[in-house]
Amino acid sequence: MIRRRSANHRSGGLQLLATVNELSASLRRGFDAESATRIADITRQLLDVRLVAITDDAELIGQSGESSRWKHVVETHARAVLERRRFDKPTLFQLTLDGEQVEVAVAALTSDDIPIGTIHVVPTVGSPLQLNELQDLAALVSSQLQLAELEQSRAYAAEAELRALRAQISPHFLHNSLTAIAGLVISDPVRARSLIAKFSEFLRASFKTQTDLTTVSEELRLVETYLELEQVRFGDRFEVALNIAPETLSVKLPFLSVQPIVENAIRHGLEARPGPGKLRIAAVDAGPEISIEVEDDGVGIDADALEEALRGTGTTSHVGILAVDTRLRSTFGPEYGLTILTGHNAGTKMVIRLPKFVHH
Amino acid sequence: MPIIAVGLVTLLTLILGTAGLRFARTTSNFFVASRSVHPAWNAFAVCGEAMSAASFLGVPALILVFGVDMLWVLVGWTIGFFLLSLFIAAPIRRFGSYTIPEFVDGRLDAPKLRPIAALLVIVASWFFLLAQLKGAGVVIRALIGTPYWVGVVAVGVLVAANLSAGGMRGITFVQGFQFFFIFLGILVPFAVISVIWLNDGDAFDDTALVTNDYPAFAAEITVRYERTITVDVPDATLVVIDGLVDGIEYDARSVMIEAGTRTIGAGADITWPAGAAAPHTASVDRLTGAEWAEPLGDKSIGGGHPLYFSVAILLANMFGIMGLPHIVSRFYTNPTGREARRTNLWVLALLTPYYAMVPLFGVIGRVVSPDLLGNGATDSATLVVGERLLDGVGSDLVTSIVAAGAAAAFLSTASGLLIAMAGALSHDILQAGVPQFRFAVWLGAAVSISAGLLVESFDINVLIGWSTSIAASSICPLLVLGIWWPGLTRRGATAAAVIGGGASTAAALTTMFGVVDRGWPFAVLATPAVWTVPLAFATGIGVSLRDSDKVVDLGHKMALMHVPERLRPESDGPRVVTETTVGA
Repeated sequence: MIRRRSANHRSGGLQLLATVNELSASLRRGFDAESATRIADITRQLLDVRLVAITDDAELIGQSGESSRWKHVVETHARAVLERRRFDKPTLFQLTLDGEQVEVAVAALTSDDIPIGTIHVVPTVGSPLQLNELQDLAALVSSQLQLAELEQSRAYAAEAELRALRAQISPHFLHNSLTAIAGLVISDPVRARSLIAKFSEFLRASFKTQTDLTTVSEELRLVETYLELEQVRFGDRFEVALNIAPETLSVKLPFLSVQPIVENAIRHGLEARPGPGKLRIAAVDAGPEISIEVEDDGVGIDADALEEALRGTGTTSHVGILAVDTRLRSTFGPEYGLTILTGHNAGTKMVIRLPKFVHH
Repeated sequence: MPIIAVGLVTLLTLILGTAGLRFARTTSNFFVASRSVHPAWNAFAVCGEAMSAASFLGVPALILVFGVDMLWVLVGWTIGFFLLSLFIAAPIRRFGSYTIPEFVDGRLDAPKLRPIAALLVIVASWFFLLAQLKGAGVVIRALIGTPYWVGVVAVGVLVAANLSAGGMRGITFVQGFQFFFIFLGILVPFAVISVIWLNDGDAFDDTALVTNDYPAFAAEITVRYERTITVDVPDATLVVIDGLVDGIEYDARSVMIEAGTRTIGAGADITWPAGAAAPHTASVDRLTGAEWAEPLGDKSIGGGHPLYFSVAILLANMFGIMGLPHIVSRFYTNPTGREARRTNLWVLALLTPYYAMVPLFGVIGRVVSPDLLGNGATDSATLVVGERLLDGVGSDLVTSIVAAGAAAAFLSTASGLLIAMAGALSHDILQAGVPQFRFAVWLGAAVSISAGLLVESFDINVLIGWSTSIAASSICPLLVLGIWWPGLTRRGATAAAVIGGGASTAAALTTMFGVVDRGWPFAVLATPAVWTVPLAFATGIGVSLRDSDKVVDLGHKMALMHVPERLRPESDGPRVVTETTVGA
């Protein structure tokens, strides 16, 4: 394509590179009327031809150059090329355009060898049609389309992975809660009933879809319900202190972001600790951001196990924490992850940073 | 005693800021702790932010010197809060943005516009902060006689240290409490003065207000001149001078001071006899009571164009309030747009009586303390009035309450402004986190303190006027057009911000450095809102209309701002958890 450029373009190799770059960029957005028109414009400039038209697998979706009433012709040609499945080199047609006999070359655009459109070129009067150039260009456009598709499927894959990490209530908790409630059914049916109501409210939260965000206020209610259920089992074995700045209450965050951290603090910090422990939950205002801190004075977390969990390699029980970290990062950006401060028998402090505003 | 009151307010600010979060120890209190703040309390916080040194100290000073035309400032602010209620508070809360740059970026998908908007936030907040520091310098000097810079540096450092140590973690509570001090600081002296006025006609001559007389000293008074000042002495008067006058050092000597323009040195004390006509700063008109009380009279305000001046300050203040970043951010604490609007209704209900009481200090100050006209300390009018009308413990008590109110006023507003500035710098320009926020706090404080030391000769409300002009001509158009006009484009918003903000900032700096000082050029540059606000709106609309690069996903964004939360399809509606007692 670069080998035989017409005189007026020979000067700017860099300009050509920029044009090709722009072509890629517009194709990355997908194959639609807007990008097709852009490709047509660029093609006409690159090949120095009179008319360019682009079709998808049936219709004209973009063109460049002075032309009239050739939509029908273009679509007929496109059908012919696509039906004959001649994709290796351009097909030539003769037609009368505005009372003038012209030649039109049509090349197919493919993605994974599946035809998805055509590109039609009418040369300028007096200059012969460069069929090789056209075929090269069609190949370039095709490969860019394929890239765009690849990107799309990568996004799907990421979404699927995210869905796999969806907010989950731990099976431990389900089992423990039900056992605890079962123990109360005879001795304290009123409380058992209220706990079952809370339990079902808690379950309801886990039905929310992954993309849904909740507010700090709602999430704290969930933590409250959770703690109430846990305290049936633990009794007075730990004490809870809550410090909440009201500015933080309407900040948005993914469902079940704080609860797994609180659960982790109880299960891996306080449960293993001899004697009563303390749990502190704080939501603090820091201008355009807030932070939520969950701190316990339990046994601390083993550094290796934690690292494994955060790398996602281990099969440890800290997997809930990993999910929180991943969901926070994917919602707010890489800088908004989970920070963990811990040491052997020195307790654990986990901090979530959240922006007050999420770009829609 | 008054300085103890100031210390108390400061201490309470520090304690509440660090420990004043909602606290719960048992799970049954969780519900209370995680419930959102009532709109009324949010309104206290907004008022704590809105009632600043500008209204507490600045407005009485303006009224004392220039007369009733200055009431437009208060009218402008009140209208501003009303417009904020109608057009800004609810939609911007629903949109969810905390800062103005975030709103601009989110509404227009324009990350490049974010630093520009942040810069405007910083400039507008900066002038506003200078005014607060000036107020701090004046109040501390009036209370304990330290030089002006002591108050500026002390308050600047204190606020910055408190913020960088995480001391405003529960700002809604801190500012809510500060509001009560501010309100009491005006209400108590107002009540005392009213009682004196009604019961004791001799305490001051209320007929002196609207007469053809010029202000005069009712009794012998020793006036301290804190900084070198040029005054016009109306009549030759036998005075006692201790200090420098017209380059001659007097050592507590009786001197006949001649009529005309005199330069009094910093630190001089002059004792004026009872009945002497009060000298006044050479740069302002000497007004009789009647002239003072006549709106749009023949005065030198606005370069001699009082009508233009009145319109300009009205526009600057009403549109400025709509765009002041530290006020807009306060609505974020409300859970919904509706709550934000209800909060603002409370704000109006609280601000209106406050604004109605504040002018009294200027009015009474003119009668009982005409020395302020000539010693450059007009900004301390609010503090002085109680002292002059009462003696002994009563005087101390009232002054303490006023001083506590003044301290709460500049502390809360200075904190809010520094948060807005530091947030814009760290979050929107550097796009970084908490350590950079601390750095930004100290940087903002350092720059403001340095400049604060230089603005001693500027009235508080001159600085506020620049701040509101800049906000009115740049941030306000961005918000109003962004919220209400779907057609605003990135280029339109950028042009409006750059041209409106640039023109008003240039005008402020031109006046600050005294390039022009009279006539139309002065009027147009000192109070530019008359032309910069329409200019910014016209630029924004004009450029957007010609711009083909429209914002995408517009319907979603407009719906987000304007559809009430309870009508949103994705909302689950209110949650109902029923709990019935079995067997009861």
